[in-house]
Amino acid sequence: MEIAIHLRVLIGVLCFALVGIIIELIRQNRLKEHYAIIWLCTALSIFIFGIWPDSLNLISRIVQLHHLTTLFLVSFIFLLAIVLHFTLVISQLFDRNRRLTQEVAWLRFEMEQLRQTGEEQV
Amino acid sequence: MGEILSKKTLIIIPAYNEEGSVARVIENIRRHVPEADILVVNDGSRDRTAREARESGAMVMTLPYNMGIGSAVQSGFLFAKEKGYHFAVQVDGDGQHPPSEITKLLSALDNGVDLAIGSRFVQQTEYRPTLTRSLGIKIFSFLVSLIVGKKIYDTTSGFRAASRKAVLLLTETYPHDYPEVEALITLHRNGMRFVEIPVEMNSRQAGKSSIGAKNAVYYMLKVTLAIFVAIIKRRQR
Repeated sequence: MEIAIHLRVLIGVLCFALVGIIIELIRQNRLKEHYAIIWLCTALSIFIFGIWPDSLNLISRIVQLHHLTTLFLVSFIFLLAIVLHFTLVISQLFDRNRRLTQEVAWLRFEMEQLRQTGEEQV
Repeated sequence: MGEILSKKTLIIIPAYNEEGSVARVIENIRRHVPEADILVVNDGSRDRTAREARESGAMVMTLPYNMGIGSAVQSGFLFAKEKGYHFAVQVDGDGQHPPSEITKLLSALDNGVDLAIGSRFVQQTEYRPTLTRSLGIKIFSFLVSLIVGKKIYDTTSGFRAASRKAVLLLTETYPHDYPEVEALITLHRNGMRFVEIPVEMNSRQAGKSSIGAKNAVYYMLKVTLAIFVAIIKRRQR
């Protein structure tokens, strides 16, 4: 499959922009390195499709679909995986947040008790 | 009965904006089970619930935001666990659950079961649910009975007493919303025994039910899914 040169340049620019944004976000402490890995992998896979379009053709032949459909399929599965990953993260955060809140309530109760007994002794 | 008095009992009252009824509930409990400690878990109320409860002489643990009934009750379980209570009883803050029946639940625990459910449907009682709610209750009753292997009528009742063993398990795993049905499956899967004790429930004194018509569909879906998930979930250690 031949991809027009200007399209490949566009893909290249897109990858470098993505990598640049990710690095900047990490630098500003707005993105955890752990999650940056996913996005760097995304950039890498786009880059591979850009410089080596035949990889897409290979997949197209395996799943026996038109290469554009394959592209959509691959992106869709990829996005699905990312969303699933995020849901996992949110679930874990939810559990931890819940336990943390309960512990805070418990500690606050204990603190009030201590303060009261302290005042009674004075 | 003498046995019960020698054991430490915690009454957990989850309360979200129940200023109109919580004081009366506490007074009622104290009249019927004077030996028990009373903990109000103030679930991020925006009214005077905490103050009313404190002035009535209950212990009050305030959650920083509204976490939902399940998380509130679980906070009470954590409290019971830390303070070494033998039994924990959940009594709603709206006055639906009759404190006069608490000793009945506690006697059941004394006989070695891990959870006693104050049930509206074992005998004919005054309680009359709406048609849709009645249908939901029947479906859950059918599913839970099937899994547990014995007839359980009132799976959604929040009026419950738990042994320390059950409390320790539920501090580890307890759903944050609509927890009642799922908790039964969790207990069953972990080899705990529960019984239904017929009680006479009151209608609400103030406030409104946590399950409005809008939430009914979510309630049905969530709990039904939770039942099946609870079956396949790994056992707690």
